[in-house]
Amino acid sequence: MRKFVFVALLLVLSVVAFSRVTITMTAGAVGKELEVLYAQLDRFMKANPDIKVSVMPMPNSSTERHDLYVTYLASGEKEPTVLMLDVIWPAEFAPYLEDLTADKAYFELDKFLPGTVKAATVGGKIVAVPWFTDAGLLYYRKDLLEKYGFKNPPKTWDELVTIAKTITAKEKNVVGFVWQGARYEGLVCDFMEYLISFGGDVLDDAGNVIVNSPASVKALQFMVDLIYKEKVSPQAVTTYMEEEARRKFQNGEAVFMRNWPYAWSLLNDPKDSKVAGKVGVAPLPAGPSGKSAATLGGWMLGINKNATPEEKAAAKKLVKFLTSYDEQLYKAINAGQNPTMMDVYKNAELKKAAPFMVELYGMFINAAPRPRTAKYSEISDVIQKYAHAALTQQMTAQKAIEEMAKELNKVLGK
Amino acid sequence: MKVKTKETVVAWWMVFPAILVISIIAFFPLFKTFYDSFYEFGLRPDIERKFVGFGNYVSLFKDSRFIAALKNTIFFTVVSVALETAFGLLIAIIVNQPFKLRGMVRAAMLIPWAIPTAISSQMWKWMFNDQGGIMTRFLENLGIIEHGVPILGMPQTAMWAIIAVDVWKTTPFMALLILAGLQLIPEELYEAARIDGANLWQRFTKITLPMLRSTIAVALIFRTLDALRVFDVVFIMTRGSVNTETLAVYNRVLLMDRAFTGSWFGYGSALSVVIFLLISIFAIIYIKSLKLKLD
Amino acid sequence: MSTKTKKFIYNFVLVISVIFVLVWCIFPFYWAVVSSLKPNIELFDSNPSLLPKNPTFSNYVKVFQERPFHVNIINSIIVSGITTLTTLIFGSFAGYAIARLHMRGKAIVMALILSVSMFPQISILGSLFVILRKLGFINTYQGLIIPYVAITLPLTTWILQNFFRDLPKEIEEAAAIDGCSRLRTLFQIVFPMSAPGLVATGLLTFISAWNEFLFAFTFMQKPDYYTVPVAIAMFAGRSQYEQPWGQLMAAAVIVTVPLVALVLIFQNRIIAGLSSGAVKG
Repeated sequence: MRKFVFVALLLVLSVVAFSRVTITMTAGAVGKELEVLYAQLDRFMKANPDIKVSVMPMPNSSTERHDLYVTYLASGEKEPTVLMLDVIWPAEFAPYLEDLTADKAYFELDKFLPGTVKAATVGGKIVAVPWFTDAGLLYYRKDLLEKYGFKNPPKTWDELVTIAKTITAKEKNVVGFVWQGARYEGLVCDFMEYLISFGGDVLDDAGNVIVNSPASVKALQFMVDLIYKEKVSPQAVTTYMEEEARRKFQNGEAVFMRNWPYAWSLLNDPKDSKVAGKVGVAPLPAGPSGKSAATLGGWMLGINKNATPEEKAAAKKLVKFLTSYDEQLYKAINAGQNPTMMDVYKNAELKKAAPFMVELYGMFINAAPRPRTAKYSEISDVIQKYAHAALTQQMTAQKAIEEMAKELNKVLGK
Repeated sequence: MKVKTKETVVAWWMVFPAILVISIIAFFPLFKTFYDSFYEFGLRPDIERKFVGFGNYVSLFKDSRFIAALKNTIFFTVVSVALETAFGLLIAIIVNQPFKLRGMVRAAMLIPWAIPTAISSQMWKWMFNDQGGIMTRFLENLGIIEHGVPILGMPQTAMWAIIAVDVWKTTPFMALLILAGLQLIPEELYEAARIDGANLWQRFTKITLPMLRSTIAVALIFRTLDALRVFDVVFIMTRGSVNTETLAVYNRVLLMDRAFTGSWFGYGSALSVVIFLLISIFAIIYIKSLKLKLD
Repeated sequence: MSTKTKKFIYNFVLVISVIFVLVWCIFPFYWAVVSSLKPNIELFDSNPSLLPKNPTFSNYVKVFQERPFHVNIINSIIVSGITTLTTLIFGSFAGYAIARLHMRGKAIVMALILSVSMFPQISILGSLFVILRKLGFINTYQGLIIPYVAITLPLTTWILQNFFRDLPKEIEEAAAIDGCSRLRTLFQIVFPMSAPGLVATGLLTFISAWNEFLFAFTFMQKPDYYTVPVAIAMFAGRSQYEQPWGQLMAAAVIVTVPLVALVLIFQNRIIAGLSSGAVKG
């Protein structure tokens, strides 16, 4: 009898000791990013021996990540437990994400960049925790601006055009301004920046379509003029995504570039870049409205609603860990990803290791999210279609905005 | 009678493994696609299914984006399949001739088909790029395009660039199949014809082409079937912009981009069925006009 | 025209044609090789050079260093190899039955086999995922092999059916009279006679399975099971936006060269081996 009790006790103890919750999380397959994540997960699992985390790497393409989530979530799959979400996805995936509104204090969301928390909020409910952030920036050639007597980067779009024209008139093989004009999500990012700085917008707070305004037409017309009237942007900019713009600028063939912060370290690597040390960074210029706008990028972490309660509890612990002050600092210093917690930017270590990031704080605070609605991908598709048609001169900017508004109303069922 | 029955039993057993695998994989997805096409619904759990009968199909044919994609797809298919068949036939004949290093050329010929599509499409996208793109440079030097013109950014040139890449990539497929067909033509037929005084052209049209007819028919069916569903090369090179969007690219927008945003899934399924029907029409045309035997 | 002149023209045309074919097929690949040997700073020069100015093997090293690429290659070999063998066997059985044996509904069988290739892959992806998950085949080799066999069977069956039908019946009939079973006839007589067809469909099947991405990406989520195309899609630079061009080109070379070498070795061997078993006269 005693033997029996002893064995039974042992069995129970071992079951308890070895009952671990296994959760999976998706993450970018990016070399440094993944390395840093594994180090962080190591620390987490040591501190939480009852939780095992396995990683599902994702390819670079946002589209492929999106489609994978659609296939998995639609079939009721409970993996991945923790999903890495693009800043424009929370509204679309909300029905499959765990409602974290009650855990607002637990995740310390009031300490996060407000723009990012807004992007994670859908219909008043918080469905994700911002992990790292991004904002559109203006890169410029310090050396060329100095050479032609311009002390400061342009504060308005018109100034940018003037500077670009002056410099390209004298410099051979240099174009004025490169940006993302291909027909894809990046075009919407760029378009929003012009739109808002000219005083327009796509949706108002009530979700009505307000893009059909003179300000919007002026904004789109400005983009078109950059190519065909002012000729500061090459026609090929309508095929450029982030990398094409970066390569042109990195080869020393452009005065200005609009891109994300990722380009900074690549541009300043003397092994790979022809413009190392000659590059400056500034907020994007303001439009006639006096406002300058930068599109909010970045990624957040959401929790799969289909997971079991134990898995969800473990997932919450993991998300809190990864978005905590210390881990965001670690990630910023080692993987170059911009923190979403505001206090991290005040850290002295960060200032030493990545001064560039601290300088960008002002831009991250003001970065604006794209329209937040469950139908965002349909809206994005419509914006892309008509903006690109105007940029490739298949219709006038006026007509493009009118048709865009018409179709947006159709999509939103209004 | 007994022999015939036994033969039938053996025949069905031989056909069984193929049918089994295909049934496991295809039966449910195909049935579901047909079924879904008669409903209006989205994949979000809160959206209800609404039976609309042929409603999706009617909307499809009133959809200007669908019509544009249909035109683009048919244009792409006709042009690239024609070019691939012509070039494939030419290359197969060349490589069927006896010459030294023939084996090496036959292996090299596969390279375009062997490189993963994702990589070769990216490579060509870069070669058509306005900066440092080798093809752009080449075409500029030939005077066909002006400097600074984005080939993949203009409606007049983008589709042709995509067709060129597809022809480059897929000609080996046609060439390989046609070569196999060529190798199975008995040498004796040519010998007899030569003795009878037939010249090169006569031998080609009276022996080679007729004997290749059924091989070309099958190759055409499969090539066309892939061309009508073309996705990767278009998506990677232009995302379907400047009027290059094909049916499969639009299909992806409906089934994936809009899976959770609204009630587009039934509509997208209807598009899948239309693609299926389009392929069937082409297949039947080939089978009937090239007299392909199936029984 | 004298025979000598004819011969000269023929050889001349042949040489030009062969050169044309080689340039067509190889130039982009040559470009990939050259790019893979260029350091990053040279890669996007607006005046690209035909030879690398400072050649380096660093891209090749990085391909294997940053991920277990050899594991991916092995996975691809296993999946593509088994798929090809299975498809050839199932396809030739079905093709032979349709071509030579008596049964009803042949056209329907052929249409059924073709049907799986008539839908865009995207439209069957979701449902296929659900089925494979129910069968427990996600993250397994069979989870890829079975769909791959299904999508490569149509071409194989149709082509082989066609070739078998065109073979001279007399030899098979002679074998039947001699008491050969259908299966033996298939293996020992029909196969050798239609060797080029088997080689062609085998190669095409192998390459299709090898390069397939969408299913491989959706059904294999554990990095240890990634096939080559999925591993390549995961190539990353220092951020999500950066495309590690040099590594991509190196991967293209690493993946294509062995395939081509394999074809070189096996094409001639297989045809010779199969033909040597053929019954003569």
